[in-house]
Amino acid sequence: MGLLEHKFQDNVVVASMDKLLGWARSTSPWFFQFGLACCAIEMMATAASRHDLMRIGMIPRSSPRQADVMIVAGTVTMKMALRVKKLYEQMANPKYVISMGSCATSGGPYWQYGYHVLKGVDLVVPVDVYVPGCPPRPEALIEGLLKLQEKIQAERPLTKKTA
Amino acid sequence: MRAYLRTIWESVSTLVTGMTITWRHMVNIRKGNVTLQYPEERWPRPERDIGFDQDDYNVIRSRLHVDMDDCIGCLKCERVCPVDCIKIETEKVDKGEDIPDVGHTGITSNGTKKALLLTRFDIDMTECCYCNLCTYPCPEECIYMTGGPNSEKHPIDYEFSQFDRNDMVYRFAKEASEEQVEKATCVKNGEKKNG
Repeated sequence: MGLLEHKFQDNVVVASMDKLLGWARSTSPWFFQFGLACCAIEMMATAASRHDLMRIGMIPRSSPRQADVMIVAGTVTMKMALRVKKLYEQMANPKYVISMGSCATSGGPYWQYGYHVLKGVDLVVPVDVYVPGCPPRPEALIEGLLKLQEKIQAERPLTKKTA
Repeated sequence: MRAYLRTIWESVSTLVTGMTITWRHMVNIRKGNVTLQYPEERWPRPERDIGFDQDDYNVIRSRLHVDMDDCIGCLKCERVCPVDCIKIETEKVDKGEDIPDVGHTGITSNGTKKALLLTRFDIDMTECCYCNLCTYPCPEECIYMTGGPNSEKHPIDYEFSQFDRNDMVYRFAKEASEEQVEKATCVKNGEKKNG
């Protein structure tokens, strides 16, 4: 994809190809399970049969090479931040990041005095959707994922970027 | 010849047996099916069991909401917050007076006369740990978690994902310019303006 990205003028064929690509990407965002703390329990519950992430085409992968979405679930410590960055860089393009829970979003309860906690995972990787909660319920996580799907669908990967 | 026919019969009969099971599952698809079709249907949000009768207590984990018309600016919620995610700033105004310029009502729904104008009431929901501790000391019961026991006051809201982190900071104070606030305050340079 990388060679063709943003290389075409806007016309009927490119626009419909863009739509097809957006649909294809958004309906099967395999996620890279990145459970770091208690949010991981809710992420497991989301992938289990009651809330069944397979309905929206999401399958948990254990390798960053096979994943499209990284769900950073839990407290990112300074030590782990290096690994988060490294694993994010190992993912293939297009890649998206969901920051799940208070801790990953802003440091959460550790935002003030946590000497060992990264104050928001967006300091090391670009985050697409922030899911609130401590930890978020599975419904809240799925809502965030549906929001991410909308965002992916609205992207125009082939068209030349104007402005 | 007989072996040939038996092979055909075996293949057909085993196919029918297998397909019968498949069809039975297809017909009874909703029986014993645990999956919730989330955006269409959802579980009721369970209330928290805090170990004693909880009718009078606000025990649900969702977004915090503040009724600004009832807030008297006593800072109790700000002090009790274990993670300091509530930020409040106040200005002194005439007690019990309505100031429509800045959206300030003088008297709360409980009948308390307000002496402070709230210029800032921010709750950063990314830092909140949903412990409910701020809701207990509030003398006017104006800060509460949405839904659950408070569903008449505000419908439940716990799915509020954002694309931008700053959108998760909820600013409850009424919009007012600095001049309007200046005009409304009764203390100026350490002296009372009127009365």
